[in-house]
Amino acid sequence: MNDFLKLLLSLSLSGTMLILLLFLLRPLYQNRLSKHWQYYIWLVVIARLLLPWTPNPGPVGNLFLQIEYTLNNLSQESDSLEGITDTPQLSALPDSDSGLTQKTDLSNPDIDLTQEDNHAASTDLNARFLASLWLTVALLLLVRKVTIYQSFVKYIHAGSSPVEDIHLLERFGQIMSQNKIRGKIELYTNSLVSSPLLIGFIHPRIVLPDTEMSRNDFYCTVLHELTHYKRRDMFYKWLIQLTLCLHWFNPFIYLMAKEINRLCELSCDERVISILPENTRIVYGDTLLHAIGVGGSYKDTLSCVTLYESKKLLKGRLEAIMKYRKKTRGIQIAAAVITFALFATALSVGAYAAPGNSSINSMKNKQPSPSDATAPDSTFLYDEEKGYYVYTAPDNKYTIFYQNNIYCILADGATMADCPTGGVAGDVVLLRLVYKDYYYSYLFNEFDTPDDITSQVNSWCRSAIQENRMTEAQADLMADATRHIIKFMSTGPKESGPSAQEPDPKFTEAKQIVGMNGTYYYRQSAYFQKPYIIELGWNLSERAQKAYDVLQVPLDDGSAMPVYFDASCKRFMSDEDAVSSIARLLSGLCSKAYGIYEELPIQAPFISGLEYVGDADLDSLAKEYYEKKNYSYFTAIFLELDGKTQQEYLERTFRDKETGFFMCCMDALVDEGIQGDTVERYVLKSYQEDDIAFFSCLCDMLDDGSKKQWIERCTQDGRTNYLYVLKDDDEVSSDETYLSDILEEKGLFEEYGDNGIVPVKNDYYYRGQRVRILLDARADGSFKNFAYSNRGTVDIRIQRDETNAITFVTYLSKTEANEILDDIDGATEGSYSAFPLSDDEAVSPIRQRMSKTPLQSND
Amino acid sequence: MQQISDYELELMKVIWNNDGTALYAEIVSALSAKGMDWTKNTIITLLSRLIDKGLLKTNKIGHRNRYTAIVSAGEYQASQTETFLDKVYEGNAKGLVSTLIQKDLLSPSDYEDLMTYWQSIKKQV
Repeated sequence: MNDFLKLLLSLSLSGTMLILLLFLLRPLYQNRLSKHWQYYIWLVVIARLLLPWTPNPGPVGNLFLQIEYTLNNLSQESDSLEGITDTPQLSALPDSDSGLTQKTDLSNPDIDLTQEDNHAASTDLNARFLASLWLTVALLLLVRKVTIYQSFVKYIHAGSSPVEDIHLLERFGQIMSQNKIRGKIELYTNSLVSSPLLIGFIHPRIVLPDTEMSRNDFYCTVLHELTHYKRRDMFYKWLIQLTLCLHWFNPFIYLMAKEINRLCELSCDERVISILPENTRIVYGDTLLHAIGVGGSYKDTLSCVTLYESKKLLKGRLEAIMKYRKKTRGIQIAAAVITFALFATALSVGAYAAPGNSSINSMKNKQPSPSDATAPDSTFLYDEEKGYYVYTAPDNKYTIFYQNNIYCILADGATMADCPTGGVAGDVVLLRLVYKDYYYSYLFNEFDTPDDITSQVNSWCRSAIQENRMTEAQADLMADATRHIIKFMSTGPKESGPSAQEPDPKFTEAKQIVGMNGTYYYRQSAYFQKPYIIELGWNLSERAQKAYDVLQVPLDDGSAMPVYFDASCKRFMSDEDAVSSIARLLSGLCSKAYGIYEELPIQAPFISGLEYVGDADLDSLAKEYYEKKNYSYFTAIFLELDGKTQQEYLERTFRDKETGFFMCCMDALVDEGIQGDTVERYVLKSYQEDDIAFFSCLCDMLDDGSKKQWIERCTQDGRTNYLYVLKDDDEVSSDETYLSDILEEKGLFEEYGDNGIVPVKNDYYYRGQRVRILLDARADGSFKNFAYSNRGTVDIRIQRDETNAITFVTYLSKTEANEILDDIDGATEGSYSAFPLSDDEAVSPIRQRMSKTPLQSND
Repeated sequence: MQQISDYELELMKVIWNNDGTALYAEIVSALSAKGMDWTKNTIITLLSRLIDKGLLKTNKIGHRNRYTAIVSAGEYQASQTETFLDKVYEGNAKGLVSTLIQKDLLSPSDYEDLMTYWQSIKKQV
């Protein structure tokens, strides 16, 4: 079937469902909700009928997809049936001649192809015929409607004469200005029209049957027509006509059109009555009745707005006028809720989405499609000998090696020899883009979602490009490689590896433990044990232990400890010197009874890296690793340096903004318990120098007491971003209690509560609305408290008297608020639109919300 | 020339008195000086009728409309007089002038002025 036809039919079907829904529900809302709402709610249906847009296929879309597949399968089956009947004939041919057999084999698909083509061509032809038939009718209808309208306009214009009576014109002008109607509307009389009407889009004019009418009649008539004009009812009417033309085959649309026409007048009456004083309703009813009496012969109600249409309708209108009462707020809210529900229904009923749209693709994916074969293959192969997972990109553009949470992307012919050594600890994943002479490193968290990783790597690449550290091509390569890595991370290795199910059990398990109670299960650090640098992890999970080679290493106390060796360090298992160094290191670490060694005693140690450094000078080694950016080995050497040099390195890494190195050094110092006041000093330093990156790293290391002090200080200084950093790390006081805790401490909690200001999570709420600007001002004008939230919708000022007691709470005016917003840097952009238009509206929040519902914005 | 209503003529007079061209705001203030505080729709309607009748044209200056008289006050008077003459005096101008003089609508000094004017035109021809 033609896609266009399917789209159209699906829209028609969705729309019909909504039409039926509204008609079925009509007894429920007819007398409860405003006519205004009843009139405009149909716009939702019209939108569904006209707009193909849909977030998901929904029931209707799926129905069409199913039909499509059934049809396709049917045609395929019939094809294959035909194919079967053909086959015996073909195979009956003598197959002694191999050449001939081949020939028949070749011709077979040819036959199938042509049959399929024929079939497809015939259905396609039918669909095209239907589509063009539909289009022709739709166009003809539209042209006919337009020409009828044009001739009607001409006819009316020809017989019209402008109203010359200045008093009438003046009365008319006054009604216009009273109702704040802009633009120019001409007033004409035409004795041929049966009822007052409004005509013309660009040059609207109101045509009266005659001018000999009572003052009241004139007023009511004109007000009625002007209300039509103000609501742009002509456009609505033409929108319906357009819908009718497009869905000319659907009888329900005609029903809908009739209903909307009825409601158009009813809601217009409703609007007029709401303007008129209470006791003039009768007058308006009289006008409607008078309108029947006068008037001429020509009657065409098509697409122009008249005062009176039919007797039956008139009866309903008169009833409605007498029953009219202002809708209560509850009714208004109900209307808003139903509107929303109908919107949601309109969207979820769905439509057939043309191919190319994601929804159909998802459908297609359920069946094996040839495109899968051409999709990028992200298979990482396991290299038994070296212990790597390897992925080679097409064209050998780059190769990814994976081991121990490090992904090395080797490009431009770089080899593993160009890779810096060293490992990562815990849940960190290291991404390295390695070229022959240089490389890039990027760290992310193992728990990051694929989307997070992608966006992180993207933004990192972009900033690197901006700083001219990276080329576009390199960034593209990085993005491509990241895609494969993410796929690898999410699916795990397909080929046999040390653990086919889970790529790296020690990390997986560590992850689970970390996730549960926040303590590290697996720990890995590098140590200097002359003449080796040993990268040692411990508490290797039982599952992971099975995956590695093990060696019993004798310790100083006479016992032996099983030590696991990573594949890259296997060769050292037979190296006595290396093993004895490991033994010494382990003995030393086991005897340490503080910090991490106490929390997580050495068990099941794992050698993930080992390097012979011989008698090399420590200072130059440190320098070398620093320049090579080998964090792990650098840290090992760092601990061996004297205190002064350590401080120098800290200072240098801080100055160079080398957050990674700085944190490695700091971690090492903290682990060894020799940090002294270093942490506090650098927290202060980063705070004073406004370096939030260092600050956020360091505040992890603060104890609860000093963290509390910092929270207070940041609050006082109003540095909210720092506050957020502190709060994020603050596991003790969670989001829910944080703001209220601060208020409690300041003694403001109850005071605010008494005045209707309540903290919820991190925002203040005033009378149920989230506060954007909170200004707590003392009598002398200074602030006792100030808060800003870009999610808030109201701005409030708390005024205090000389004794600092709250005298009143008010809303800020727009000007005041904007002045304050100008003072708040950056964060305010785009938040203006959320601001209520005037103080008046801020006082009546519900009305404000009501006026924002899209359907009601027309008045 | 199409006939215009009294109110339309009032508008034309305002524009003629303003050197034949006026902005909407100028028209409003001139009208209210004459005690005619019409509503906006009335004024705009009348102006657009004058445009339709070919007495005015409009051009935009920024988003304000400037109305310019296509027909001058003199031309309008002449054409109106012709119409009047045809209608009432069947083209007999002498009858019109004698009525004017008889009813003292034309004073002797006005008459003298017109005579001098007439002599000067004759000399030129």
